[in-house]
Amino acid sequence: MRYRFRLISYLQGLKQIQDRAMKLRFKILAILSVLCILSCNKDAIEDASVISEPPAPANEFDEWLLENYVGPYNIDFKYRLEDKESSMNYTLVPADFKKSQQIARIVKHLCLEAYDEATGSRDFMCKYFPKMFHLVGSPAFNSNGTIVLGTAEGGLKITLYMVNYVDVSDIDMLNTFYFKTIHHEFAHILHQTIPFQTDYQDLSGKWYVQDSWLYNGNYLSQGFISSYSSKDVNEDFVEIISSYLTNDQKWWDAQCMAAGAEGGLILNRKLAMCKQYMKDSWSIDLERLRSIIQRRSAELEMLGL
Amino acid sequence: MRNAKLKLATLVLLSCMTLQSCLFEDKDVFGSSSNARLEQLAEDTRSLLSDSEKVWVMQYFPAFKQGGYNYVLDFDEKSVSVACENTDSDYREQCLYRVVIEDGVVITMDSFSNLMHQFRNPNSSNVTGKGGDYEFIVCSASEEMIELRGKISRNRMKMYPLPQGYTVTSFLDSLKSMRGAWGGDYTIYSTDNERLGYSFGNKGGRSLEISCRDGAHLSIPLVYTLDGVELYHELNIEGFHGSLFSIKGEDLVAMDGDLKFSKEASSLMEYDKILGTWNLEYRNISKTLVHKTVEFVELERDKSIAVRGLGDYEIKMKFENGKLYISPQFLCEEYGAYLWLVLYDVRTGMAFFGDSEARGYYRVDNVTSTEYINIRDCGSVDGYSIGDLLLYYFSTPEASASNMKGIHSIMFDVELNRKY
Repeated sequence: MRYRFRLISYLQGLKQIQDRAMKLRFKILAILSVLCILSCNKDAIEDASVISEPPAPANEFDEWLLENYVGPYNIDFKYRLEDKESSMNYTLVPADFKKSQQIARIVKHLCLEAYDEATGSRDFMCKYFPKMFHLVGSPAFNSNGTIVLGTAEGGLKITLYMVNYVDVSDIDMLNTFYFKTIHHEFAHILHQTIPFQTDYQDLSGKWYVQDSWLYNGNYLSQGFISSYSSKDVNEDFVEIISSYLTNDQKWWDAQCMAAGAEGGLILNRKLAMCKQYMKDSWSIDLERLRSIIQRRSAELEMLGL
Repeated sequence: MRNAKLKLATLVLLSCMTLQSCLFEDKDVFGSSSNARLEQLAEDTRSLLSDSEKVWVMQYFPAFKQGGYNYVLDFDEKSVSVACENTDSDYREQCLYRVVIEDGVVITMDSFSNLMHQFRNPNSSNVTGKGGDYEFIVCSASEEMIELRGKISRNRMKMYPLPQGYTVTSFLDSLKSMRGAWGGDYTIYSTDNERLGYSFGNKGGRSLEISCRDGAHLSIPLVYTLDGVELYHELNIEGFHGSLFSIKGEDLVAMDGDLKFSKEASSLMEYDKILGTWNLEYRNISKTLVHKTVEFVELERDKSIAVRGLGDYEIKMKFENGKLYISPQFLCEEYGAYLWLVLYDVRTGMAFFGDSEARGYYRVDNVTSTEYINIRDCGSVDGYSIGDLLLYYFSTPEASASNMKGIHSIMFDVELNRKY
């Protein structure tokens, strides 16, 4: 009786194992299939790297960029149009070689070294300024008739368009089409790193019009420094900074006058908040930075462009 | 239970199939890895381009309808000297270039040259430029030829060494002479003198507009060569073919096929037979197909026709040698403005409203029938494909850029037929 009981329990145990195996059979087969696939991989790893494309032969300008951008600031100044760095939404042409050289020298003088002077060292620009400049020769035309002057992407890259239209003798043109853009884009990077005061929004909250900014002819009286400012609060903020930096006090006062009592008041309040932000967040005196930029603008002739 | 059996069978089958891959070794068809081949092609291309003994002729096709242009490119290690047939033969510009590996081996002209980038450079009235490329994918490279494809346009192009005995200037001058010798209307024959159709074009045009005897209409871009013309792709009419044509006297003869273009006077349409009622079809600004019934009415016998039925105006067409021509013209005064018919290139957005007759475009159709008229560009303005109509208001009787007022309507893909 005992043996029969043991045999029965032994057989029952076997059956349990068999049932469990049946349940697991699909998992076992799946694992086996994967192992079979893996076992077929017989490729040997080659010693040589597959990435061996030689760099393009360097010219004098490349050497200059190495010395003045890469070395001191770790900025890659791409003056040759790269398809993969360009927006696919626009038809673009490369920048003219001579004008690229001019832009590179001017950007260094009016932007990089201006901030260095205002902050006392290169550390600020090395840390916060985008690490890539990409130049495009033509404008980027939007379907609504506007053009893109520049873009800043992820704090990493600034793309400047219309380089082929550079006229080094016209500082107003340089400011309008290039430097205001650079300061504008850099200000975006700054406020994306450290946000500005939320109550800035309250100064013109009801007047922001998103993509209809193009048709906003009353921007000054609404307390906007440009029609583009009326797009949204972020553009508003950076437009105040970039406009202030690239124009003198006379210009600013004229804008406030034209804005009327209410508009002028809003503009000056915005400016005060921008100055406060730059001081508190970045230890930069906006007033001093502007005077440095204005002084350096007058020195452009000495660059031998 | 059935599902379980199915699962089991599937897994067993999968295991057997995967085991198969362990049994046989992959045969290497190419002899080296794809990356190695890519790098070799890039290196070969760089060597060929920077070879100081060679200057290259590039047959460049910007947008399909524009036809081809010859560039002469003298590469060194870093830059390229650019000359083009559509400007002074002595004129040169420099731009930088690189050979990079990106989407294949690519020759990129990555600094600006007005000549090299003329077909791409956008402007406010033409935000997409003229459809040209500045980057070219290398399909193959040898001492005799480098085959390319435009990275954006995907047009096939090629480069070949400047022929022996020519300088850059003399080569471009020869091409210009060839361009001056070609053009007009031709009757197309096979080499055993079977009439196959007609081709139409202005002198120096860069495309063939062909009307075949079976009713087919073809438009093929071409580029000039020292001997004649080379078509973008082979012309094939009922099995008779050719792509490379040389000028022999007044004829064009296929050097690689059995077609011949003969310059003989041909009566294409009879004036009386095109008078009467036509069905006008076109696409409007919303791309909707519109049908209207119009009348072709005699204006001046055998010389001009008036098209009536579109509104309180008539459109005048010139009739000459069996062909119709439309030019920009004043239509009527309405709503305090002056309505003009303007000729339009929809691709570039350029409108032509001078009163020059040279800017007319003419119809091409099945010349054995009076049932069909298709409006096409006659190639009178180089670099444009003026095949559409624009009705536009101006503020003065004279149309000019300074007194443009607004659009009335656009007519794309205009066609006239007698299908009722």
